[in-house]
Amino acid sequence: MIRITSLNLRFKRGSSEEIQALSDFHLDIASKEFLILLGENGSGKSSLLNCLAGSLFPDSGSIEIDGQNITKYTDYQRSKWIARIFQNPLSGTAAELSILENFRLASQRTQKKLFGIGTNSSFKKQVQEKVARLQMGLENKLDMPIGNLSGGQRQALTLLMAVMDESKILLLDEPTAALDPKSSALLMQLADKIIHDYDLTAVLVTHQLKEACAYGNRIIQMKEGKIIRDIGQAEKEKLKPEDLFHWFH
Amino acid sequence: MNFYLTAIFLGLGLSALGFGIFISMRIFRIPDITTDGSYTLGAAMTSACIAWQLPLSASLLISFLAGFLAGSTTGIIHTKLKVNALLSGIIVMTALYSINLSIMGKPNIPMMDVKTIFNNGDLFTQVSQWRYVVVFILFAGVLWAGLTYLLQTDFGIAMRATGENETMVRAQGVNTTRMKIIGLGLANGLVAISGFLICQYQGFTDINMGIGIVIVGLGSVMIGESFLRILGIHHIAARLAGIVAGSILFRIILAMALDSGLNTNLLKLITAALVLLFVAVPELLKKRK
Repeated sequence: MIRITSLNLRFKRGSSEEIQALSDFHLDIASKEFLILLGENGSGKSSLLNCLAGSLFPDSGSIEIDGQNITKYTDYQRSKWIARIFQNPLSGTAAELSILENFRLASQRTQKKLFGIGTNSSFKKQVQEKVARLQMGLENKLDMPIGNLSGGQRQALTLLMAVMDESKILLLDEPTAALDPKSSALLMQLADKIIHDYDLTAVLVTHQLKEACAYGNRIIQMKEGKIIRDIGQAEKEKLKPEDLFHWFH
Repeated sequence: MNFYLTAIFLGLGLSALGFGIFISMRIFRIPDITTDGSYTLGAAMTSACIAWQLPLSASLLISFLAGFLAGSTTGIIHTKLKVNALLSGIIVMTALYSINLSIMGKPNIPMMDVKTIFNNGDLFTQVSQWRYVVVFILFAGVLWAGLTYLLQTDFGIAMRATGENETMVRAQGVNTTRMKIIGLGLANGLVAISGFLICQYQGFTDINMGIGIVIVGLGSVMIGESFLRILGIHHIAARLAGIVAGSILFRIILAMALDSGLNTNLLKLITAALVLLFVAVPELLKKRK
């Protein structure tokens, strides 16, 4: 599904503070794989995710999706395959737009935004049904500006929005970092369900060892822009948070 | 009474300007000073087209397109050349002064004895007030309806989201650079339509008619918003209608100031003070809460 070959990324190139964020990085991610990315701050996880999303461009190397080389594609071009959940719950939605309008935009992610009105009653009904499943009581507030909602609610809606249009890949960048424990747990359950229901290939960056243990079918630990551990499903199932804790000490 | 009627006509005629400022300042959050130049550009193009004896529909289209070009130039300078948005606008506005003067050929072009949207080209027949009423209401109404529609389409939603959360919109597959260029073009095209209307209403185009007009547009938007905030409405149709109301009210307040014997030299000072009032007071009230 995703093939990353010899990716190199340096920050502050040529200066004495040069940082090698990704160093001759190779990674193959299979279709429907749910990959957990662990690593200390500065290990290159976020750089990797941003290179995948097209927010950062590598100095060298290539990224392929389904055999297609997308290394030079911009973030909005990659949205054809990739949906994203951001660390900041406010980043995934447009605050002043209504819930319905946010969903409408998401439903056109892979398409051209044209001059028809798509927020009609049948679309509204469709969104209502999806939002009702969150049991947050938002299904009757679709015309409310999404900015009135809490971070947890907005993050959950961002997840639903990710599958409003055809998605293959879901990138989650510490999606629960800004949420309270209860909202975090709910969000991760929702993410897991959506990833399974829609057969998505997912990459989750997290610092929560419990999350890293509970979800996903492959786990990678990064350090200084390289992979230092790569553990598949069978072995991952035996891992406990304590084991992961020792990786960092 | 005529005095206040003029204020209402001007307010309606300047609502296109208010719509333009709404797009640049509210939707894209860019303080776009290009406005001062594109307003005069619309008027300059209109007087040129009328001198070339083109039909009024062609003048309108050419004025709009000229404004669109000016605005998208600012957009290109801002997005592609990475120049600060405010500075990009100042650069284009400055360049437009010379362009406008070249189009006009002289600093002031009277249009008293030519055929305009309000005038049959005959100095001696009195034009019916109804003609003004119909033209101004038609323009404000059509633009209001058109924008209300546009901003609710998928394209319009993407446009509104661009100014709010660029990260999110790009992740939803929108080329935000192109969106900003188109958006600033549309904003200034609308501003030029106000130039088209007002120069014909006042019967002349003047090279300096755009000075400070950006503040007039901003004032209309802010006044409209103050009322909608009180009423607690945020539907896009109401927000745009609020701009028309704000534009008219703004003119009426100025007319009242002049009516009470205020020196006309102080008009811009009063305008600036009024806008400051509408910008500052809601913020101060918010803090109190």
